[in-house]
Amino acid sequence: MISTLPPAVIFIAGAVFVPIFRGRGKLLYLLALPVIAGMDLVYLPTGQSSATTFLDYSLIFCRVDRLSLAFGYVFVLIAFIGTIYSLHVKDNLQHMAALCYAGGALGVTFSGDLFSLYLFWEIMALASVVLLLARRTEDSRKAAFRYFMWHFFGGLCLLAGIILFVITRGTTEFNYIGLTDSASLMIFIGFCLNAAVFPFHAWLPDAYPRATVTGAVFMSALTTKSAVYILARTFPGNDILLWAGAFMTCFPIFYAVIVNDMRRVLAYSLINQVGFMVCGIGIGSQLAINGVVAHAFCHIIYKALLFMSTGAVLHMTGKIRGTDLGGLYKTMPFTAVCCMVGAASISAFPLFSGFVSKSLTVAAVAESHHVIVWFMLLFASAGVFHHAGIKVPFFVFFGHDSGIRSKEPPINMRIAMGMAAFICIFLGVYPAPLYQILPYPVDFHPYTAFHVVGMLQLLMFGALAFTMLILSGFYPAEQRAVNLDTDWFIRLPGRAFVRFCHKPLQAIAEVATGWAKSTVAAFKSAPSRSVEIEKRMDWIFHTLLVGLPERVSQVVQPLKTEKSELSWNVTYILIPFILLLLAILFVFK
Amino acid sequence: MPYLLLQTVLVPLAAAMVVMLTRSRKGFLFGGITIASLFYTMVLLVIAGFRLYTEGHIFEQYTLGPDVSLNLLADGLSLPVGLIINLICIALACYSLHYVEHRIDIIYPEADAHTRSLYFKRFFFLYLFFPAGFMGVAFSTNLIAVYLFLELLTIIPLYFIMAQFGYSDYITRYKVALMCLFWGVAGATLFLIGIVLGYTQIGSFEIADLPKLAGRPQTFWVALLILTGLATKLAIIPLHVWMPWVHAEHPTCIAGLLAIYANIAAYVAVRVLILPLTADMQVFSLPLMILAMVTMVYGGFLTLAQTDAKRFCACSTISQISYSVFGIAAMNQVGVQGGMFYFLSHILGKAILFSTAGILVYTVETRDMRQMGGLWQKMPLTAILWFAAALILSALPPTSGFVGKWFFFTGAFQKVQSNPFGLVLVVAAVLSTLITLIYTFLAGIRIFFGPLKSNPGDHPINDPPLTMSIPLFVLALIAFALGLFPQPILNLLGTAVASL
Amino acid sequence: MRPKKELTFLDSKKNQLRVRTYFYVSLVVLLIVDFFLHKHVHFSWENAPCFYAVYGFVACVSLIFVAKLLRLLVKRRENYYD
Repeated sequence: MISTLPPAVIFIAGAVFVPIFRGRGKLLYLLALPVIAGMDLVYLPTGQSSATTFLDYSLIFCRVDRLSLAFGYVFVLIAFIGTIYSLHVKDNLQHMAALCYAGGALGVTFSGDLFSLYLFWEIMALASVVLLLARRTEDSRKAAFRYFMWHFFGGLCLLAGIILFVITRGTTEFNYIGLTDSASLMIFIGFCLNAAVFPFHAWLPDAYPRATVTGAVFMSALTTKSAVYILARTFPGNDILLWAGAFMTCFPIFYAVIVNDMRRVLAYSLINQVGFMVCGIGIGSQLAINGVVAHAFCHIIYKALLFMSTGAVLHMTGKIRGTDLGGLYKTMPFTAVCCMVGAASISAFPLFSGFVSKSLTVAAVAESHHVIVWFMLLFASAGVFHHAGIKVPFFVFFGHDSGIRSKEPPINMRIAMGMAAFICIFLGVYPAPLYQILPYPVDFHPYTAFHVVGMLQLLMFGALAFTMLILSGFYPAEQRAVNLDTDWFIRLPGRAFVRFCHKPLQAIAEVATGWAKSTVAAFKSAPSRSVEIEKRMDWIFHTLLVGLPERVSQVVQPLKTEKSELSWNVTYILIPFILLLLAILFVFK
Repeated sequence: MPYLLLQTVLVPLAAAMVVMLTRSRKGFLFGGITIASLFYTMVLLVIAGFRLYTEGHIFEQYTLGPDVSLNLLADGLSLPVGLIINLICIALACYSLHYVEHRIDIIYPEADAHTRSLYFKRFFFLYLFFPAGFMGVAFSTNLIAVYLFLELLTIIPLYFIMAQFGYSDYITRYKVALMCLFWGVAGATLFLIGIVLGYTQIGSFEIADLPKLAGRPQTFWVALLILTGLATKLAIIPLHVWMPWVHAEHPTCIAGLLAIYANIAAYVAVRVLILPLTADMQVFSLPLMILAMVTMVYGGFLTLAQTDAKRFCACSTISQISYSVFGIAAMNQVGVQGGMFYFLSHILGKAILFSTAGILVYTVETRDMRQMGGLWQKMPLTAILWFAAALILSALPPTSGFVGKWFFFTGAFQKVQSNPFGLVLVVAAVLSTLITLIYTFLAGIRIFFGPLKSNPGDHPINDPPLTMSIPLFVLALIAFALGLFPQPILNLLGTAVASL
Repeated sequence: MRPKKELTFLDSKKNQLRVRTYFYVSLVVLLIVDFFLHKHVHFSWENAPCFYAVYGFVACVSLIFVAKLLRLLVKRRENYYD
């Protein structure tokens, strides 16, 4: 029945037992879970396994091939690093949510059928909402609500698409879907929302800066990349994705330049990077898919590194806005270095992991001769260096001295950052292990003189532009402001709509709360009510029934004659009994 | 080996005679005789099991006179039942060694050594009738024999309560004993009327001849009567009211056996009604499933409200038995397999739970669970046993309960999947599982964790002697082993229900 | 944690000038090296000398310009949505 263990189960089931452990034991347990999942992953058999049937449809929990394995490895890896990073968190709920979240992502990666995909998709959504709520500020609560609304909408689209799909095609198994009918369109929209494809992207810069310090690490890695995986499996080669991805790489960098909250910068840059991956999916060639997977792998690590270092700053100083920070390299050199490693990686500096992965995608675009897209990607690459490679480290750690002298973050955060930084540099220098897990054979050599020099030119001259603009005072200063994005269409009208519907909505909410309360009360009172029912039934059988002969004899009493009571009573009982026996024997003959 | 099955029935009886006739000061000797005889029958049953795998069913016929013969049949259905019941009897006999000593201390403190050994003797004499009766019910092929063994099983516990070893004061004991008698006899009488009615139709009391009843109009009444009789034993609403009383007032060493006594009616139902008369029973399928479902949920809620440790286990039994009934009522292959497998799992888990409750009551000297707390430090082994039983009864993997539940719910779904009723089924299923989980674990947490409450008695609190806990650990291990490797038993059950 | 010594490397004007000098030098080196490279290109314009350098510079400058424009369009006060 269930022959192999899906790694998702290890995380999700493991999350349940987190509150049992305390102190050192809890730390060990939290670290053990990704390790166990990793071991499970290594021993998973390729092909489909762990399948079961449910009402004529097959549920496949382990669909293992090179594509899903690659993503599986990096998800487990980031779960491990993220767990190390969050070891200091005392809130059990965050740990459980993060574990469920990782489990959901793994479940999505290995699901072979749409039902289990949907299940894990929703687990991811719920867990990430919990991670948002865990910050427990008014701001994050509202952001969590908006995030939930976005993902609920996406989830509904996906569900509708799945239902239509299953009805029209009669099976829940899926491999390549392709945009053919309304079912696949709905599924596509559901996937695209999680991948933050324009215009369904606004939840990302809205929610990610408001997550907890440790939650953001998980969020940056899991939702979007699992969506990338699923798009790579189901809709590769779609031209829409090619253009959508190219657009996704370009527009966030403008926003990233003018945004103040450093984690929001990283969130926009996340959209930019995912755009590369979506674009690669849109091309669909072997080189492109290789690029997508490689890029996803490296991106997860270096984006987590960036979130970790900025999160460390937030954790130690309580501030995250560019206007408030600066000059932190003086007291947090290790964090600064890690941030710079992450920045170099995301910019695709040679000797860092971004260089060996992003170029696969760009090369694939060039090979397919999409000229405009290629220019857009190149523009985006320069832009990435600008806002993530330069802006984030510069305004946080260098730039004008803000006077903050905070210490380095706790040792577990440093270890996690160090691990991620090490991986970035290691893969950048020696990409062979990465290339080995890519789905298709790799015939790409990133370290050609031309490529290195070209990239360096692109980046360094972009840096020159930055320097000159800063020195000339033309660079837009960091300002405290809110920048409008497509969520304007939802938030403002949304608010007006809510005000319009306030009264009826409130009435409905009150009715629903009333129902919920009465259901809970019903359940709470059920035990005592059943005791009363039991007493009643007990009374019926043991008092009423037992008392019947008494009552009967009381009725019969006046009828007795001088003969002793006993024999008359017995006779009166025997007569009906004999009649009954006769009835049975004769009527039913 | 000849007379294999006959020995399983007769050896306990013979051992009972031996116990009666032996003079000894040492009460444990009687226990030793009991355990030895039960070990012997277990070996026999294991041998029978092997023979079953190689040869198919074992049929033994002993003619006692013209027209009267005692036939015993071991097939895929009866053998696992017999084997597991035997194991539980052994475990509970070991458990009883110390437990009876304790009861005697409490009820007859002024007794001298000779009188005490007399009580031991009486206890084990009566005890041995249980395995004999269970084996008889499991292996008989004759309806009258089944009836007689069932009646035997009703009267013996009655003696236990009324005569010597029950709880409470004399008046309550008397009433509960009478209740046990009344309900047991009522159920058995309905059963008897049903089989007599069947006899008038086909002229035979053999189970193998029952399929001849198929298709006749009176079969409905036969089935209804037999089913109602069995339902009283199975404690299905509304015929369950006796169970909380009887189970709670029994000496706990027997309580596990009483759970078997109630549950074995499920086996009888399968053997006597469902297998021979499948088509005629279909009309009862849905109502029975509904009743079982109601009992599941109702029993669960009732248990949640209990504070007396023994009534707690007793009400839990009501809920758990109806799980097996639910599976059996689906009357398809998977459902019956699951129902029977869950029956076995339940009796294992319930024996452990009841016995652990008995240990608690014995040690802390109160039956009120609210007065127990923080016992983990003093009684870790007992705590482990309780939670093992909780796992088994809540049907969590990797226990046997999970396997059984998976199967019988699959069977139930297969039955109702064309029906919108299926949705209600799902909800009730999840609900009942949750309730079981809650009440077992919540009770366990309240009893074993939290602050240590002072015990009213002056008895020092520590783990029970090993002869009480080791047999229960063995039962728990068996339940877990069955959960991990259910195939042998499932295969056996499958061959028996293949006709469905 | 023990108080760490502050790094004051970039506080001095001398160091800042040093960093900038190394930077400019590396830029010139990159430009020169460009002429000695063997380029295997996908598109013909990549062959142009210092193509990437020019593109990077232009891209970043235009990026800032457009960003400033965008800010004029979309900037609102901080509590706009509340």
